[in-house]
Amino acid sequence: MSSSQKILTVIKHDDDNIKIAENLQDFEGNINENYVFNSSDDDVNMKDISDEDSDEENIENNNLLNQIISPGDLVIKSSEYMKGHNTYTTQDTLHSTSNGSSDEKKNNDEINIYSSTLGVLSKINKLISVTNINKNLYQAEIGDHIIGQIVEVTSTKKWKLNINGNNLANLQLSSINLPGGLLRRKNEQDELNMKQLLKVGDLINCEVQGVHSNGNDINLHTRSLKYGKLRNGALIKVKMGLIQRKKTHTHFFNNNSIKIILGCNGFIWVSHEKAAAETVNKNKDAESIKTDITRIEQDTSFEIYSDINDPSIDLSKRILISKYVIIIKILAFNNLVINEQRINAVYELILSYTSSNTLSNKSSNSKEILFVLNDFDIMKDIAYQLVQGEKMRG
Amino acid sequence: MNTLFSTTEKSFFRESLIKENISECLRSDGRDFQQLRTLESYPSFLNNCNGSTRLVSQDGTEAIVSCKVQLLENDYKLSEKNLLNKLVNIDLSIPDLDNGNKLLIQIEDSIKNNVVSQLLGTETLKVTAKYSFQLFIDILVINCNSYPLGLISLAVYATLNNTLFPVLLSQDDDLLVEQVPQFHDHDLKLIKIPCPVTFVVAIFGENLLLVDPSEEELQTADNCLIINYVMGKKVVGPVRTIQFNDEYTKGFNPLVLSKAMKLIESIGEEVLQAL
Amino acid sequence: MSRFEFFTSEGLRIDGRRSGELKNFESSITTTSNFANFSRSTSTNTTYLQMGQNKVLVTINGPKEPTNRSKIDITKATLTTTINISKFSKVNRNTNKSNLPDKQTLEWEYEITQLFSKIVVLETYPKSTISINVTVLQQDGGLLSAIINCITTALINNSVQIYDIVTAVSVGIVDQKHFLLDLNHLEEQFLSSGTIATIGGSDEVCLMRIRDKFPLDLIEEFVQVGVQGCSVLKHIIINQVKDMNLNKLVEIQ
Repeated sequence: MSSSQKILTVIKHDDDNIKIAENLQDFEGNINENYVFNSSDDDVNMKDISDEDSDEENIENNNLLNQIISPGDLVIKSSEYMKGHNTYTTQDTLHSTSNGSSDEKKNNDEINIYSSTLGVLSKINKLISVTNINKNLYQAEIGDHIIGQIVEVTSTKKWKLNINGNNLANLQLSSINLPGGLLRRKNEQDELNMKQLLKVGDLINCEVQGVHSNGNDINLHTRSLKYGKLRNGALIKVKMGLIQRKKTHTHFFNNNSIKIILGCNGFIWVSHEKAAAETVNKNKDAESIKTDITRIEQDTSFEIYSDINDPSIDLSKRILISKYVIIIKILAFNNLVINEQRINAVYELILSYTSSNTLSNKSSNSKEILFVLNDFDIMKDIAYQLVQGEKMRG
Repeated sequence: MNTLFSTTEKSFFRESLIKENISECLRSDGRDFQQLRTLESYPSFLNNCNGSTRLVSQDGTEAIVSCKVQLLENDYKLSEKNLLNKLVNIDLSIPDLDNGNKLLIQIEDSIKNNVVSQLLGTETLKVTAKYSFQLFIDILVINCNSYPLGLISLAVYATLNNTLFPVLLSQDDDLLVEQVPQFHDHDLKLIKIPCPVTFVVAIFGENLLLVDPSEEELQTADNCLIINYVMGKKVVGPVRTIQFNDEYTKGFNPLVLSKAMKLIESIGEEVLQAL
Repeated sequence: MSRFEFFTSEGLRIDGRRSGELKNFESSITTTSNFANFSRSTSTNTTYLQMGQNKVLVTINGPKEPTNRSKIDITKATLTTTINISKFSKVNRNTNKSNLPDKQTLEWEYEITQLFSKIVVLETYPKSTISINVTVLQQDGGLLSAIINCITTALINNSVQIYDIVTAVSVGIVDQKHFLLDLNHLEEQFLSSGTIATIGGSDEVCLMRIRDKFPLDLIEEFVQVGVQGCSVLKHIIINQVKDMNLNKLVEIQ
């Protein structure tokens, strides 16, 4: 075992508390002055340490700070605009607060739009909305590719799924692919077998079919062969803000052997993909399409609801899966948006990182790489390298 | 408290841990088999307590431990053990669990046992012939996401190692003297109580042992052991088994037990050093 | 009045502050430990706030689907608050055996629920619950104001939509003429005092709580002092929250 590897890492946050403990009555001075003083102190330090670089950074930081809108701030004062997400107008507040000053606001003809969250302004034509910085709830939109977890099987022909929103989403029995192909109609037997098809805890790869009544009744569907129950892999939940809506959310890595689904709702599925079987299927397709389409459907649909993982996944594949899981963790740990390019970039960095490090000759035992990467210092280091690399390229 | 895992996920985790050859096994989060999860600690963050620690685990579970010291007049009718039971007070609260909850009582008991067992036969808490220090150890668990015993015991250990006791000034030490002992106004001294630390070890198959299992490992393990370790390369009793799932639980080979103890003995010192 | 001289002729208080000064204020989202970014089980952050010697932890659970079906409100979310004042929070440990909250805590729970039901945009989260859990680790004077400030910060950090920021501060009166802002433990014990909370640092008072005998002719001035303190606090809180979230902003753009 390598010597640098620790059994337990403890990050200690020692602050001035111990000093205060010695003298309970020693409070800090005026907070107003203190505050101004502190910030100006920082400025001085910055200038001392280095040159124009940090100065520019400072100005940049200040610019960014000014862009942040806090709750209650007036976003825009005009009746021409419409309010979008995370905003409210004075008309909304009328029934909730009946204070003197809000009455004054009402008397103005203009409609004032206020922010209700901490974020930055985004304007699309005449729609004003505020993008949340700390997003942690998923707001569904039709067509989103998401991953949900079943938490309940109801008696009314539907499953309830946790999709990281404020309400559970519905998956109707009629909006899944039933075993036995498309041509079959659903019957009462299917209703009785619901629990055998999908159980509590199962993870489902699905799409948002419809959003009703103010975004709180969400219907999902899995009516496509690329959707369905997830197997052969592991789930990671990351903060909502780290995933952005893209055209595709399914990505393949490492010669198509690893499939990563970046669900719009912050659930990420990393799994192994059988590359060989796929190509066989394709060849067959080329030969005789008509007869095989039904057969593929039948094969897949029986297989689609099984709980058994692919037995051919061996250690090297598992290590590869774990490696990608850790890559995603590194990105999430450093608050970096997760996308295909970044995952690839971090993978490259890890390869160079381990080869430059003397302790692991990766060819012999690549498991050790995983141990090393679990250290949070290294996580930070890799992310720093990544950001620097991106800056270089612009 | 229980995180929901899908059947396929669980079998995927289990398949990667049930292998003939140990070198082929892999933990789901890529840790080494004997590696604990990274912790964040805030030592001595409360200043009106004699000692305090806040530990935050990677899965969001937080343990806050505070220790307060008071003076108590000895009761001579009590045996030493009963006296210590009176001197050491543990109070544990976990949100969503009420006072009489079995899990709560079990954890509380095992922590108390640990502290008391190491104080037996020592005079650490004795001030004068007539007075002793009474310890109030309060434990708060916030965001309980997995079985918290391991985290709590590490936090208690860290707290008892930074607890400051008042310094005795008066010289008289006599049963007949009615006087309450005098203490220095500000000066405090550190008395280390060698509290044992509890490790949870998950057993997979014949020869694989995982230290500090994560929630998914608890839910797929054959069985789990709770082992106490005290400074100085010693494993101390009680050793218990505990189960967290009913899908995979089965008996284990007794040989595993001695292996687990050896494992804990080899890593214990390093864990205590890290805190 | 009392044996302490709370306000000397030089204008200093017993802890060396001036009459209008606030205590040291420090807030941090402590699970910024970034590990929470990929935690399997929770999506909530713990917000830890230190206001003078008050130390308060707030976790916000939700908005999420309620476990109890009977509590569903179809039009808006329901808000619940629990306050847990830990036994070790005072200098002398509370030896009360039972874990039941005392009367004052229950009163505060009710008041805070009422206050924040008006502040959170409940209509955006129909059919769900938001539960606010407060843990007091150490208490000094003006605990209620520290709790309110901490909940506000926690709501922002957890991106729950709110109409505006609420800040609170405690005010006391010495010798019928001097007003002290943000009391410490001793001052709270011996002076007639109260807590004032305002919306968004403006002069809209949304909570006032005076528990002692109080000279009514001074009440206007008393409110004025409180309102000023709140507006200063608002700027401090906003600046701190913005600073904390700066690094995340870069990524959004």
